[in-house]
Amino acid sequence: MKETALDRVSRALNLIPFIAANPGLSIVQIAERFDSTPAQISKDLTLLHMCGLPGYTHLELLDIDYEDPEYVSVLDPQVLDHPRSLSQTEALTLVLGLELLSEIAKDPTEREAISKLQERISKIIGEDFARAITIADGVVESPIMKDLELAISDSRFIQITYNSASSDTVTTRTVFPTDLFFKDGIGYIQALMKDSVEMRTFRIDRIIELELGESDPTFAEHSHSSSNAEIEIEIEMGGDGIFFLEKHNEIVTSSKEINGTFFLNLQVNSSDWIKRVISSWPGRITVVKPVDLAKEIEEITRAALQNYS
Amino acid sequence: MSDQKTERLINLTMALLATKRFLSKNEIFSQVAGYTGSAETKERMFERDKDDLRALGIDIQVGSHDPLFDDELGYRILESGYELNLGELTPVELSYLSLASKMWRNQLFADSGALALVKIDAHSGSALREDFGNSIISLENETPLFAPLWEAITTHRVISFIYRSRSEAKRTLAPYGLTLWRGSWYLVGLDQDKSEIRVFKVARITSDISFESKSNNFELPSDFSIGEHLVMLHPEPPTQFSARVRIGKCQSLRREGAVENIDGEWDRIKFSLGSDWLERILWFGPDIIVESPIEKVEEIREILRSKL
Repeated sequence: MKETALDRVSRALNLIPFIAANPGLSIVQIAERFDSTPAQISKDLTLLHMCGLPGYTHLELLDIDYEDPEYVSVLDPQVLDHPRSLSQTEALTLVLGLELLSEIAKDPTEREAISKLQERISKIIGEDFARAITIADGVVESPIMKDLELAISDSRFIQITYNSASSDTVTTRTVFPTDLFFKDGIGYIQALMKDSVEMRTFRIDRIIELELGESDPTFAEHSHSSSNAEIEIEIEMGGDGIFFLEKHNEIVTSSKEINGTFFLNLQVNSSDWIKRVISSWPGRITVVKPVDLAKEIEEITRAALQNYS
Repeated sequence: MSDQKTERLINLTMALLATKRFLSKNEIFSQVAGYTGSAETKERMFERDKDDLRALGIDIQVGSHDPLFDDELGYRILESGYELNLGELTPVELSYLSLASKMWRNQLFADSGALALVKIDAHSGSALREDFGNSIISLENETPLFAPLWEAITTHRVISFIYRSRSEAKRTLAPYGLTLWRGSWYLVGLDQDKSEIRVFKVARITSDISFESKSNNFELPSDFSIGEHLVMLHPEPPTQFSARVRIGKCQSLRREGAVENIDGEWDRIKFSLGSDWLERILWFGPDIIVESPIEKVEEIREILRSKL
């Protein structure tokens, strides 16, 4: 989209206070922060150099030093020494972001600090605006979030007692968490197994107990991805395929729908898990391939039904 | 776009910010660089410039020099309305703001978050910010429709779209609001055909958003509150179950209920489950036999039959 004079004015008015508060950045660094190009920022600075207050002698003009593109500074910002106020959308972005942050911050003092900050910024937002967009419930809460964050930032091992849903077991193991992420409000960690150095994913709400262990900043270097072979699966199902797609989009490699029947190709690395996913799905799912898997799932369902006869 | 115009707008902003009293048009024309041409040209230029700055959200005040003579109006920009003033921000607070600005995957909030952070860094300097590590956490799933929905909500325009649940249908809606729940955005609004407030999962909208009206076509009811309409926040009361489970199996249920041993093969558990009860129970295949409530047992039997 072509830039208008207004876009440029808007950026220019923020450029001066930004550079004034962050002296010595390069043109390239400044361009990155403003989502612009170094050439454009140079043009902006050249233009701003000629702007100023009535009188327009060197005493009233903006004084910018950009001769060396590696070190830009503002010697006299005149009246542009403060950034512009946040727009309602900008303020809302921060307020909602802070709300999510406070949901995952488990320390009560941290939460209080975040909510105070939220209040300060909320003042910028009109009531109707604030009412129209909310966060209902960002995450499934977990009391061990704090320890997990600490373990990741300090490169520490953790010993976890974990309830694996796919194998229906509770086991204790030592792992090295490297990453924390959320999907559909549920927290997960990626961690290296201490013994095999294989990468695994654990659902945070299935960790029953956690104990922080020793630190080893170099352990992550040994990582290699899981050696589990990927299994390719083909399934067919009815109109509820749309909900299957939504819930399990990360394993679906392709999908098509013909007259209300969904044809899905899946790729998974745990046959235990996919057997349970398919046999617990309330609607009928036909496994076309692999044939062995189809048989096993049918046996599970038959055996379960046997329980009730 | 002309450099001249950009330059003039910046000069005008600076002049109006610098003045303590109202500047009359004539003062502006004679003092602010960039106003040239006939009286009429200058007049038209100024009117447009004023509108442009207001479109940028800059509040230009109109008033009079002299309370006794209000015939000649003047203009100024108050610092208090123009400037970002969040007071002192501690390094930790700056880090929270930085994280909050980077939580978003939707383009609109990602862009406005980046701009907000530029302003905050211009307010307090980025050198003070404490870095909480590189992990950038997002609790939001991708949604390309966020920007048009946001526009429709804030400008109060009626929209239509194709929505997919069990079947696909066109919906026409006065959009009241959006809410984020467990990673997904939900749209709440007045369904124009059903005359009822409905909730739509944005991920299930399969078309583009069409605007069906001009701005300000409806008003947000004064008593409207998104929370009241979110079915997912008001789940049905859970059901109490009693079931036989194989020893050593059904681990996640064991943690939720009271366990008693029956014999060498089976335990009995009493537990309660919400709306996902069926999947939770079927997950354990033949390792569980639900004994009560009897209507749920019947339902399980039927589902299992239908799956074969």
